[in-house]
Amino acid sequence: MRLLIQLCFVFFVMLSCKQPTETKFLQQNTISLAQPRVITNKTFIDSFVTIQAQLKVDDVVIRYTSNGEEPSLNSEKYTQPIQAVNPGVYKFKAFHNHWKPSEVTEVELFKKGLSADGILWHTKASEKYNGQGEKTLINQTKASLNFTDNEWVGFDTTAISTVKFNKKTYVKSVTISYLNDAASWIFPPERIILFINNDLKKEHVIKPLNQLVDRKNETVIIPVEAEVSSLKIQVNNRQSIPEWHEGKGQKAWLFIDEFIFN
Amino acid sequence: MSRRQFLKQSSLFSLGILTYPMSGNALEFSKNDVIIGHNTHRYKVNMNWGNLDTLKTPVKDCHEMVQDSKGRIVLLTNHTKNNIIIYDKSGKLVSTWGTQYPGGHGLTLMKENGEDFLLITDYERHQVIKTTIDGKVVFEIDYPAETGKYNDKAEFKPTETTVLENGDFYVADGYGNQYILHYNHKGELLNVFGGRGTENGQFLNAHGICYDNRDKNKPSLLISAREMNVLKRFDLKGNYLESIPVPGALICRPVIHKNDIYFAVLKSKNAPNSDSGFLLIMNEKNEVVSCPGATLPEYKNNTLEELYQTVRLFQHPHDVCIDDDENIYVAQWNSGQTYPIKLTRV
Repeated sequence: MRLLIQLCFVFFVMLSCKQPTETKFLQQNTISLAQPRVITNKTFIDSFVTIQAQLKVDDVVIRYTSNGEEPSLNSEKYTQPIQAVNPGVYKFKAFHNHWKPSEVTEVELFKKGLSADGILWHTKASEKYNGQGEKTLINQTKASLNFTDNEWVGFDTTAISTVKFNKKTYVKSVTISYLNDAASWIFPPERIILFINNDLKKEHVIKPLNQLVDRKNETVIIPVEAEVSSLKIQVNNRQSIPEWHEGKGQKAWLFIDEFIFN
Repeated sequence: MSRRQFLKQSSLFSLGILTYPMSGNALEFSKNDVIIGHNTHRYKVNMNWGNLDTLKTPVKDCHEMVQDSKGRIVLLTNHTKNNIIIYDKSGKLVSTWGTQYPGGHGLTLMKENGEDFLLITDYERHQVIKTTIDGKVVFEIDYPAETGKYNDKAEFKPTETTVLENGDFYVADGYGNQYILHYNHKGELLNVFGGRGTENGQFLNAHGICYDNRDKNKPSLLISAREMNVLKRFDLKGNYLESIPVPGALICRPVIHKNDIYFAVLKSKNAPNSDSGFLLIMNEKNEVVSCPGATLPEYKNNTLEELYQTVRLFQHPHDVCIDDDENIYVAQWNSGQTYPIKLTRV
């Protein structure tokens, strides 16, 4: 009987040591965390901006950088809302012992720009997406990633406006902030043309998008370097949605949330 | 037990995802199995279920699934090589049919005198089609011109149907003019209500509809207003009754199984990535109790906190089918032509 028990025990141990066969279920280490949610109370710094990051998963660790580098396991750990005083790109990434790390969420904070005194529109925004009226793009407030946010002004035509400064003001550059959300048929502009004081013309061409990317608030900075009383800004929407997109051949939407004058 | 107590007590199972508990025995190979969901509704994930030869039996978008009376799983895709794919529960291919449904979107099982039929909505054909379970067309319904609410057939882009016990059925025009149309079993129009708008009785993207007879005394209709992140309830005559908000969740059709309501959530409203979907399950009180692939549902002051995807598992879930073993099959839209995912309840 004892022998039988011993034999049974050995058999059980052998069974136990047998390498497991491949499980049919999905394994944790093959799946990534979602990007952390990052919320700022504003995006223009006068004194400071509060940044909050979150990913509601047990034992998750969020790390961040403010120098433009991708966060690593050695980066600063996010433990409480950050009071950011410096403009720049803040990047956040979630880490976990079992799940693959997330992609990076980044937010850009801007130094508060020069205040324009007025804006005159030469083309009309879409009735449905006209933001908070004519001054939306010079109100020093940026939009969320949601195109229905009323800080966005949407166009299905070229957007042309003239920004006025009552007193001639030295403008080093202008930043045009737009939405890249091709899944919603909202594309980066095709080109941007500036007419400085009705005279000097500057043109900036934007590379066409060649694949779908996560929706993102993007900016282009165009040097002005002049004393400015008026600045005509012409932002051309993409005239034809590229071949790879379901809306190919049709006109793309253009969504702008802010002009920033530095 | 109150909902809050229930959620609190179950917070150990919190936050959408868990590792499988270490069993302590020799068969620990499953300890890293993904487990998604919360509270009473938690699942392991099988990505291999139903995978077929992509050359012989391809899919494009997998739009909806139902289980038929024989227990088979019926999938509707908009791939016109085989619009309907019928699997057994193990994921083995049984048969296929259908080449004429380029916008095949809504799939509902209806039973008449012990026989299974299907109601298919096709937003490209602008029609609702009733077929036998093996694909013979019984009737086709065109746009409801007689209502005066449509200028032409192109405005009618039906997304879903639901059937009552007496054979009456309702059609949700979720990609069209947002009306809900009530027909008798012969396909004759009885009523129309809803329409596009943000009022209580209106919709933005009336994507799904479901007959709710859990309360036998007060049968009603549940209709998802996907863009609004709201589930709306109407009586069978089309009178608005209530709204159930699901903040952050673009819910597709409600699917009632026993006392619970299951949803595929196409995406998280505020996620940067579009492929940010998950699943959502409500209990008999219409409280969200589990969100596989997303945040733990939490109520503060009776208001549900915004839900969002926590792991990049689902892409764009578009429908769920719950089988008689409580497992869930997930059909996905725009997921790179992948076959459904099976979730096994644990």
